[in-house]
Amino acid sequence: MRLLPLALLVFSALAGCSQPQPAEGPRAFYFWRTHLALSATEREALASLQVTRLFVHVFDVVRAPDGTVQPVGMLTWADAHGVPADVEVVPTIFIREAVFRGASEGDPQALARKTWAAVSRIARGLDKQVQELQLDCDWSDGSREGYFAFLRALHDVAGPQVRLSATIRLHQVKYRERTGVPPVERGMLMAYNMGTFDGDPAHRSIFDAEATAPYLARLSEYPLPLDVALPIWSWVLQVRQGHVVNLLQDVDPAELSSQSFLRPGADGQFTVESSSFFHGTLLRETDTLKPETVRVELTREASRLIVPKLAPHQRRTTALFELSDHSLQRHPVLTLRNLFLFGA
Amino acid sequence: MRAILALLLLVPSAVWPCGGYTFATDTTTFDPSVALAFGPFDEGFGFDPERSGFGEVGALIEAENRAEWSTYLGPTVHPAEWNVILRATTLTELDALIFFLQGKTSTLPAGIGATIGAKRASGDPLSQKLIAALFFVGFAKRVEAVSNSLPVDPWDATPAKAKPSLSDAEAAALLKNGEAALARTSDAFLKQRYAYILMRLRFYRKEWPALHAFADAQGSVLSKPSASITWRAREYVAGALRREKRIAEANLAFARVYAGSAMLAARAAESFRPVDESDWQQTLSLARDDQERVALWQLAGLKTDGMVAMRKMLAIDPGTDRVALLAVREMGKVEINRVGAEALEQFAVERIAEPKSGARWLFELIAGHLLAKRGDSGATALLAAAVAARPGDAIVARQASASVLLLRAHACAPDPARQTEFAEAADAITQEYPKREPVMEMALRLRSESCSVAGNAIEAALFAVPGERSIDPATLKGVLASMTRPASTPYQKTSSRLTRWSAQTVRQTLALEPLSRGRAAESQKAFAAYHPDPIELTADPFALRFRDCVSCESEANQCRGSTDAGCSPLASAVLHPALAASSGWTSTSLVQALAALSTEAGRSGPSAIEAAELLGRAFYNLSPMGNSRTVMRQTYGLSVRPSVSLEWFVKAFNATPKKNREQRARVAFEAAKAELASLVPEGRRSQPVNPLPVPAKWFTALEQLADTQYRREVLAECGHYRRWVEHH
Repeated sequence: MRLLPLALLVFSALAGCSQPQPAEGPRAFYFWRTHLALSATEREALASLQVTRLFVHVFDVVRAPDGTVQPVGMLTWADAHGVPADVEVVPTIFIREAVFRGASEGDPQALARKTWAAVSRIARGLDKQVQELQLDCDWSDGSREGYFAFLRALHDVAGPQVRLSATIRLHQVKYRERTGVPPVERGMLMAYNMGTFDGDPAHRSIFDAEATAPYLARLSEYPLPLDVALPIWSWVLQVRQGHVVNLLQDVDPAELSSQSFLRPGADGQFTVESSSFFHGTLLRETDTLKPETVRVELTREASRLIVPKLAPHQRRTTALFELSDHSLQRHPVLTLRNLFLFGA
Repeated sequence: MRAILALLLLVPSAVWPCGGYTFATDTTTFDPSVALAFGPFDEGFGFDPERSGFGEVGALIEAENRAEWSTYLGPTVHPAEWNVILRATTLTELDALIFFLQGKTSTLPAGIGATIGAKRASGDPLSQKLIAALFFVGFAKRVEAVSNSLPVDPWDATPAKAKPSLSDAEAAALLKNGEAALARTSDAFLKQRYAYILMRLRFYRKEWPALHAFADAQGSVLSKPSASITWRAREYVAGALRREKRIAEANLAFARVYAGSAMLAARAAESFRPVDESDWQQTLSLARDDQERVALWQLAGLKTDGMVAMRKMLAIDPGTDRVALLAVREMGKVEINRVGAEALEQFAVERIAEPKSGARWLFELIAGHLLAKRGDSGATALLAAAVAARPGDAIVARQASASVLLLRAHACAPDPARQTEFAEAADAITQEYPKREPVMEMALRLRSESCSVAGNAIEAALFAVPGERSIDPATLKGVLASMTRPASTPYQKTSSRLTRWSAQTVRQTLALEPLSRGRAAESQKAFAAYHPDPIELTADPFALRFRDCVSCESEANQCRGSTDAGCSPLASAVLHPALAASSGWTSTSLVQALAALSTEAGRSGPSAIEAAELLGRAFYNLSPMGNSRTVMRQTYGLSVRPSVSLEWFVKAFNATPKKNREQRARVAFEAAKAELASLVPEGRRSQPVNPLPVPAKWFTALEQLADTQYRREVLAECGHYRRWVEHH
């Protein structure tokens, strides 16, 4: 079996050398819905938390059934979308890894041109200048080459005035020799989803400190300056025979207890008693719903575990995923302010 | 983010293959196109988690539109010219063309082709028809200019707010003109199109009640002559219902479009979105009859849970064959998600037993496939029955052959007849079969496992993924022999064609296997016996470094010549120039040197001590922590255990006179490195280790040589040692 590079077997101190420091960089949220129209609660949160950056998901890039690469879920917005003039919008594009897999990834220059044209149109519509463009793709061995070529092409198309950033998952930090480092100016470290999905009631999939710890050893020496994204969202896992078969991302765990077709269990999970549609998903009788809620304590734990391991003395953006009334309900502004001030 | 959804659907081994072998990306072994037997089946309806949506319909509509115009205008108007009119001509140019055809001007607008222009010159009776058509195109273009519909190319999608807005007065004028034209024309083709565009205009204006009223009033006009327009109009009605939040009615309307128009089915399926049980029950209650309820459940199954949907469909109509599409999708889900095979098999068996089953042969094929995958010989009869029920159906025959191969792969017996059956089954999988690659992959795995269970180690190895598990040298020799001997039976020929082993790598593995155990002399003999190609070492195997940044080597190699941001400065060859260049050593010369050193180390005196130290150093560098480990990477799964090098360092240290304190300090440090490497559990040697284990025995030995220059250098360079000293 080919061995992965042994990353940390060096006789030098890599971990524990840097000290936690208060966050001094910009504060940010991710906005991941497809229609941009901030609620009053969301607008108030941006203002009172002095948020200066909003990473707005503008579209996904996917491979269509006919094999062509296409955007889906193009952002639409209200005339009064509610993003203050002094808040920078960072268009963020999620790209399915399959787009770059195999020999059919196509021409990176063409994809870059189309991507930039679409982003520019949206930015004009929002009356915002694009200073940074973020790409979110969980690339792998088979897709790295295509993804990196696309990033280089995008850089050429967007020009030097636009900073490119890419989301970085912790496994990409740990195995960076194998996964490569994307050719962008900055990385956004996603401080979540390190674990696997598991139907075990005790298992946490959004953030699990134990699962995260092994990935942090070489964080400070990552070749890109890193911003950090912390979780404040919740979701519900649909579990069948112990396997997670679906994520109900739009479901607020608080809703579950009021559903007549769900029977609450002692472990905080719910059993589906009759097959029923629920938020667009057809739940099967005997399925289990496992709510996972990220409370501020967990977000703080993620921050305290990860941020001190990042390269010290760098001005970095701290972003919370994601901005929504649900998230703000669970994380009052005061606790989020503390998180921005002291947690990161 | 959304990647996590994708993660759920991917097979881990396909994402991060651990070995040198590249796995098939597609892991499904059942061809969904068998569902073609039940009617038009767009490829997009097959289960493919890597692709989004069910299919693009824009291009189909475009083609249909062109074809309808071509039929309407007749052969004397060239379709390409008319397409220019539809797609590219401006309103001004259209007006100019109409004036030209009416004889009001004498100049044909630039870019308009000759066949259209000729209608004026010849006084063609088609001229009036063409003028009326051009008036319609002008009206449609005026409406489309303010529409927010998605164009054919989704990259060009301009958000609604960026389109010019239409004032109420302008909209009213457009509506008035359009309705006047609709009333005026007696041409059914244009009349239907005027009605359709007027409906679209109301849709863009979000005039939902007016749209419904118009659709009802113009029902007969919209229903002919173009079926495409009829269904597209109904799609707008459904869309309006969706926007009015009339979810139940909207879903029913989309389901009718899905059932009625093959061209629009993919888009209608995308738009069909039951939300909660209450709206879904309302949709079912609004359905006209059971067939419509069956169709609703089919769509629900496409969008969500096919198993639940199939049972609901059969509860309504036990003989329906509409479950076929869902059944093949569920087969794909079972194989990709690796869950639910039992439920699907149970369902298939029930369907086979059902006298009224409308798709019995499909369920025989599905059940046969599932049984074959787990080696149940009951698959044979089921697959044969499926093929017999579909004489001449090549798709079904190919799938059944694939299932038979998976069944035969389970039977690894020395019986020549069984072996021939396997060979024939493998040879029957032709290039035309779309799942050939994943089926062969699975067949080889199953064959390897069954041969292993049967105690046939050589064949188990021959069909295994090389390097996936360790294989003893005797078996490897058998593998090499079977690869190199002339094949005399069909089974041998097929086996040698299917194996993924490389004779060269097997030779490397056999030659280097003794070295992995520290036996250089044996390895030298093995080199002479197997003649592997020399492997070039990119790092000096006898070099000693304070800091073994083992990742730097691969990083330097990966980054050589690259401009990636991540390739500097740590990974640059400047930082580790020695690692990026050839060391001058090859595996052959290294083994020779190590054999000679082993002989020397068996003697006594300073040269024996030096030989032992060099052996320890070389074996350390060949281990997974060392900079020469690439040698072992070119074998099937060999690695040198750190304890081999530690033994040589211990020997060197013990033999070094106590007065040679500098030399003892160096060897003690080298032994500490080997001790540390030995302390890392074998399974963790490919991963970062935090905290690093402490090689207490040899750190202590080094500490006892605290007065040496070498120890001071270690103290300065090695943080791990320094911290240990500080804590002691």
